Amino acid sequence: MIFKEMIAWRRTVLLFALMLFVTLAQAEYADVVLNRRAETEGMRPVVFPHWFHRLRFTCNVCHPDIFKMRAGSNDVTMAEIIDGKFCGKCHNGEIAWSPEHCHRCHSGLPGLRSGFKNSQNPGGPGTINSPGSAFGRRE
Amino acid sequence: MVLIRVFRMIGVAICIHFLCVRFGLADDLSAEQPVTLETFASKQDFVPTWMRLAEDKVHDPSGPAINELQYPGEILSRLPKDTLGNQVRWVTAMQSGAIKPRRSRLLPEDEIPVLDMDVLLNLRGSAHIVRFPHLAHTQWLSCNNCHEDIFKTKIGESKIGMINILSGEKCGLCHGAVSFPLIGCGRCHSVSRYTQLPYRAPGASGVGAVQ
Repeated sequence: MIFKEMIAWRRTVLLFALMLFVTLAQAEYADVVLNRRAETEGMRPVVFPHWFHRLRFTCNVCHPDIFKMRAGSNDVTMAEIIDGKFCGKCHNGEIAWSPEHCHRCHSGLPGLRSGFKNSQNPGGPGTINSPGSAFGRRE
Repeated sequence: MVLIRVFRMIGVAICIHFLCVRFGLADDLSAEQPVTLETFASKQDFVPTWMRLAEDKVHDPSGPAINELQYPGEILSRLPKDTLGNQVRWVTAMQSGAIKPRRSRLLPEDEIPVLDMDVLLNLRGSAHIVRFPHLAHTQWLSCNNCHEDIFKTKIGESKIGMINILSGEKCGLCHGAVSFPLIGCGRCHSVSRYTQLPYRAPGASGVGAVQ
């Protein structure tokens, strides 16, 4: 029993130590990788930079009406973007550049998992933190 | 099983404490008067650096558009500096007019209401009292970002705890993910218990207290 507790404790310490050092060496804080579909459909994963958008818009412009504020709870497809949903609300050639510039978003390293990079994933049901979630899984 | 969970929580707490010590934030919690945001940044001899997109292990350096994307340091280095997160003090940057983010997608003149009211939380704990400033939050967000989904409007109705927050609920939905990370303990736990209550932040028009 005590042995098990020790293992759990040690694992937590290791996890946090890893988090500290691994995350420091990665992307800009709050960059989000979207790779639920991209790579299986032959494109690089999408990297969404929060910092870039924060400079230009306040949070309420996108949250929670266009994107729900939980990693993995927005099922974004290219067809919907072209139809003017999700990213396409702005990236339509009028407010921001249009989705024909594929590689500006699809700019991630192949093999990246979906989720926040260099910051923690907002947890809860339906996100990558919950077991059995489809987020990040390639289907 | 319960014991294991308790041990794990203690482990998490110890780790967070170590993180705080590493970033020089632990003194915020033990000092009689907490370090304010203003003194915090000036105290630190810190030069922020930002990673080039081609080297950040997230962007593909061989991607066709890698040179079209903006380097974060190009603009973030001109904003008020910070030691955490994007290494930018976003609220200060906005309040000082260094950045003017649009409040609405379509109508630049659209007014979203701003509320200037502080709420004090954690009045019974042992760490410093949390001062939640509505002003800084409503400048970035609208009411429906938090109410009634994440937090109830009625004072005392929302059960907020560090375990919640660390697992990405309540405050942790944004803090730690997008806004300043959770190792900045003293930024929320900012009002000393020795302060005479009701505490009024400078410029705040109202104050609420939660037990």
